Amino acid sequence: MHSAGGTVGARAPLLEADAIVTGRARFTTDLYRPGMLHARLRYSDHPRARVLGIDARRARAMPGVAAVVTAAEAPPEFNQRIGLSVRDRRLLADRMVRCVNDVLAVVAAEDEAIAQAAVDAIEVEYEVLPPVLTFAEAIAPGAPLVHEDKPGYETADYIRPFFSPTVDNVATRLRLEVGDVEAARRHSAAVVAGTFVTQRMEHFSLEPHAALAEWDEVGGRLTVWCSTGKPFRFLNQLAPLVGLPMSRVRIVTPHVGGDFGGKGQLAVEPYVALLARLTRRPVKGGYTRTEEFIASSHKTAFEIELELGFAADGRLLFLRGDLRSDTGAYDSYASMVQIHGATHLTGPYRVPNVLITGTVVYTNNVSSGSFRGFGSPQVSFARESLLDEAARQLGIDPIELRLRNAWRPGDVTATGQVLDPERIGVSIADTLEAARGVVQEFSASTPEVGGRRRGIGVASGHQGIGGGIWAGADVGTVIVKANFDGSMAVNVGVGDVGQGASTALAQIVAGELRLPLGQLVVNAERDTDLAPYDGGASASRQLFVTGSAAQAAGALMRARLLEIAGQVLEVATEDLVLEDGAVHVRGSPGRRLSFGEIVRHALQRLGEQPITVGRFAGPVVRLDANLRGAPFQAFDYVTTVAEVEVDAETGVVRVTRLATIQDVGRAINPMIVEGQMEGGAVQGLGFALLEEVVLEGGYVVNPHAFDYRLPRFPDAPSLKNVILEHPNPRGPYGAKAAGEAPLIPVAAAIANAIRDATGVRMNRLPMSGESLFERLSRGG
Amino acid sequence: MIRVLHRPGSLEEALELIGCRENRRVYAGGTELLLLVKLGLAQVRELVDLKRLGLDGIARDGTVVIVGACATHAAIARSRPVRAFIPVLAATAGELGNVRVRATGTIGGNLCFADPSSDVGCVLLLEDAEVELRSRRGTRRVEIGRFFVHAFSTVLADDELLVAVRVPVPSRTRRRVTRYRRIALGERPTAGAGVSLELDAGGRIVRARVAVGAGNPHPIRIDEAEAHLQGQDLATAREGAEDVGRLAATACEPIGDVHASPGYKRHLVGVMARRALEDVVVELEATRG
Amino acid sequence: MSDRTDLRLRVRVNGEEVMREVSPGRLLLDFLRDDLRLTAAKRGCDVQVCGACTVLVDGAPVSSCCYLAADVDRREVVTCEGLAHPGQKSKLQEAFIAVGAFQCGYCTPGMLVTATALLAEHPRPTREQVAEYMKGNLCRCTGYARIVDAILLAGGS
Repeated sequence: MHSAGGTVGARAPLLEADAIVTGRARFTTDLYRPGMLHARLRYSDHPRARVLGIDARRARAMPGVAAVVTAAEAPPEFNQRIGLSVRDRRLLADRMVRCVNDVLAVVAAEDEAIAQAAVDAIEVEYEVLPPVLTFAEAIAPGAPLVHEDKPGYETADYIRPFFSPTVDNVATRLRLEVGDVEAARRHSAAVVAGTFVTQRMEHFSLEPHAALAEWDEVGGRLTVWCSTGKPFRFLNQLAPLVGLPMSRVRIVTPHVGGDFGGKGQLAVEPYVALLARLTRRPVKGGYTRTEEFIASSHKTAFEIELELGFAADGRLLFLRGDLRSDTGAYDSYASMVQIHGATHLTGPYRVPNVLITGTVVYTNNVSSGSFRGFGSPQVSFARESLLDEAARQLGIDPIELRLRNAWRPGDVTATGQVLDPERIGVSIADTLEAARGVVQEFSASTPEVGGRRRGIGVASGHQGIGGGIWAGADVGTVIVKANFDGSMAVNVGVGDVGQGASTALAQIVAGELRLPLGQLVVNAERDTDLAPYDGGASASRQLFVTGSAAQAAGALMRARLLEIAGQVLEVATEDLVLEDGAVHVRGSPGRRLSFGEIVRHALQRLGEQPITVGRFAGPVVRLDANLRGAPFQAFDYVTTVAEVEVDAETGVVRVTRLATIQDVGRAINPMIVEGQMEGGAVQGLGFALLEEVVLEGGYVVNPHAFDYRLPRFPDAPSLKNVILEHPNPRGPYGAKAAGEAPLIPVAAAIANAIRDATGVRMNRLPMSGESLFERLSRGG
Repeated sequence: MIRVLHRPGSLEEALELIGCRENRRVYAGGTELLLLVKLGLAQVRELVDLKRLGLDGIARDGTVVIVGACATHAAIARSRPVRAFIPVLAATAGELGNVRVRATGTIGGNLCFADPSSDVGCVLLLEDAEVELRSRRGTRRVEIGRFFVHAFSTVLADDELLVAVRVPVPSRTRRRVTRYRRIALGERPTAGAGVSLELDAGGRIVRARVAVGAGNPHPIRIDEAEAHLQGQDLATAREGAEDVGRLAATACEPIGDVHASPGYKRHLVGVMARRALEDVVVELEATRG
Repeated sequence: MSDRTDLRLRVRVNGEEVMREVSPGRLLLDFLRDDLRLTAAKRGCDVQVCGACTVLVDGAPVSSCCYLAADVDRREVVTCEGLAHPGQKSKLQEAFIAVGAFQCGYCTPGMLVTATALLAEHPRPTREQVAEYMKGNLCRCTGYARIVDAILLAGGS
């Protein structure tokens, strides 16, 4: 590995910075097309009902209404069942509605108000049926069936081994067994156990889902602008629904206003696409904030029964866990979230005996699925809380207890993945060692506040990198094109949802080429016509996978420029060095060719534009039916230290300080990394203390910003970031990932700090003022 | 759907417009009403804009500070007479909602809307304020304590406008401190309570007000708690702080929401009342002599 | 539509005089975005909680999602597009870039508009003043610390 010029490791502002601060950044909702119509959706009024009839005559007759489409009018390909893991949902419900986010009709009209009025004018006749609303109800014998046809559903191959094909409400079941838990329990000096419950949470990207579709009648092509970090996933899903080959569908993502795991599945896109084709006019649609709460899936709530057994010296002897989740009416990703959570349940610790079981059920609630962390924050909350209890029971310092069990090079994970230091890197212990200092700093410097109880808590976590569980091979491709003047165009297919992907990828390419960042451009819009395929912004994979491809593309370009320069200068490439946008002959000052000269030579003399394609593909991985396999490229490791103040009279917790200690391999752009750490920390605070989507009878009780408590400015604690850089042997410049890990241990760190402050162990999220007050008034 | 916007230039014109038609509503800042319209909770065809009636003045008139109904929260928070004579109102107005709501929302709108989580009504109750209601039939003044009927309900008649809030200026010869404490677990206050004490020259409490705002469907005074404080000295008042909190908690009838159950709100009301009393006592002790 | 009385609106937007007919119920946000194509102000929560739609009306920050266009008649509106001359950036905009005070950027125009009003009111604010003044603006990406830092930097604190 060679050094990377000045760009890798630089605190470069985002490439989009000027556009953003001047208000010129265009998001999907900021796009307008001539003659554009507006779409609105008609949702089910009941969580479970038979649909006896839909009467849209009044809506159709309204002036300004261009189209009203129900399942009866939609083309057959649009009526096929869809779903990422399980094809269990129809875009337009016909005979049955299974939740209040089932769509019965779509309207396109001249403006939004008319479209909404038309939606309201659609009359639906139902036979209302009793809904299935909880995990217990769903698995009860004789429970009404959410999906009567479930055994016949098509499933993605990665979910098939876990899918329950029987006539019941179970979506998936999992079981992971290593060693002999029962035997280990008999040898344990201490056993701690508890049941932990996490809540549904809304992603609350500030930009709601939006899409604009345009049908080019002459060319027979459909263009859909939309808000996602996964344009190719959308292309793959959307084309079959509109009955077109992928070559005739184009997905374009302009600026994307946040994702957090909430923009990975089709939302309004198919509806506006259908309406655009039918009306032959551009159609724009989007979720209102209320629809965000109802129609887009939530963070999957977990009920976790967990038991840990230890030797007297603190060594973990066994872990037994049972995970239970309700995916709602459709399984967008809740089953995968549980599977991912199960693979992360042991944490970054050696556990010789493991038994993990899990069940995901269908109910008539609205869907739940992925959220930043993908199950890891949920399981970390349970495990790290119990580790804290164990430390107390064993009389071992909580950091020390974790260190005694921390993964070391050569250890094997519960799924059987070998932590080969040549490939993966293991640095959880380093984050824990660094955390000792932070705990000391916090303990030393905070005065006791009158009437408030103060506490400090520590928790750790890890996050597997790479989408191999889903994709098999995790593929990233980056194209670099040299311009006439020697500047470079970088073309990527992975979305930038605010995480700084474009900037980081540009820094990597610039590093290979020793070019100033200003000499590169990254395609701001991801356009599936032009950009190379990419698995998208998910699974902590972009920097590792697409970043590796970027580095490869940059390296290939460097090699090609050197090669051409060598020919022109008649010097062996070994004698050439690349610096400041030029190729120099070693030892001969003044003998140089600028990139521009090289490119012009190539174009004019060789008839070639230097274009390079960098590729990265992770090994093909798959978890088998026993959850065994080596599904991750690497792991991020993180330890969080939280300091809280508890108002014991009200139960209200204020987090005063949060420190995130994270090994990112290499910080390609420390400012971006810190941004991820801070954003993750505060999102974790919301998860821990504030946020909850409340369901009642299958309806969302609080689908408004004023009833859903997001962290606000005054909630943000003083934030400390400790970036550790243990280069990963295979990551670009040693980089791994940054975005998901910092959220993972926060809830447990705060819970442990509350335990420290009050003696109360909170095992349900969010740890609201009321819930803590109740526990405190019951005497802990 | 809003079809017509009336912009009367005088109070007479405004009074003529209101009260004679369904689906016609008055507004000033619009922070409450437009939200309801957007949420589909209010059907409004015609709006009457009250911002051109000159009702936004704030001035001291002898023994009262008169706050025009269309004075914004931000203007109240900045107002010299309010800050000088009714600092608790300035403070409450300055913390209400968020900076945008304060810039546009008005005191009149806040009171007439009678949101159960409103702090302003409670603070006015602590200061014995009155509201002035005008209609073509005449003018009447109503004690703020008689203005609220229930959550979202007041004594305001269909043809009446709230035109001003009148807050008595405390006597200079006595020492009065009023404090309001609140806690907001969601976007709006969850529980709030306030205490106002006035001491005579001998340090006896000659005027006590204890009131609950957020946490009860509408602001109420806690008579028993006031009686408990009346005539006491500060030390005794402090000792009775727990009792005052308990009386406030017992007297209110909270409505639960997603952030807090009725029982918890009741508890919080008690804590806020006790803390408000403690604040007042500390403040009065600090200014003694 | 015959019973609807449209209004003639005269308003200065980002320094330019604009005359338009608007319907009485037209919201300022829709007027700015759909009629004037000034799209920096964003629809975030639609209930004046998140602040993404914040614009200045006569210097005061308002939620344009719950504000009638009619109410800006003969007044001055500034959106994020108008915080600096084209091709230039204000001190605050520069500070946001320098400290990395945004990620996805959707909330940023509202943050900048609110922070502009804050600095006009409190030229050298404290950290606590910033947090209190800005608490009605939500950001899901940054964790807020850098936004506070940027405002303090621009305020010279």
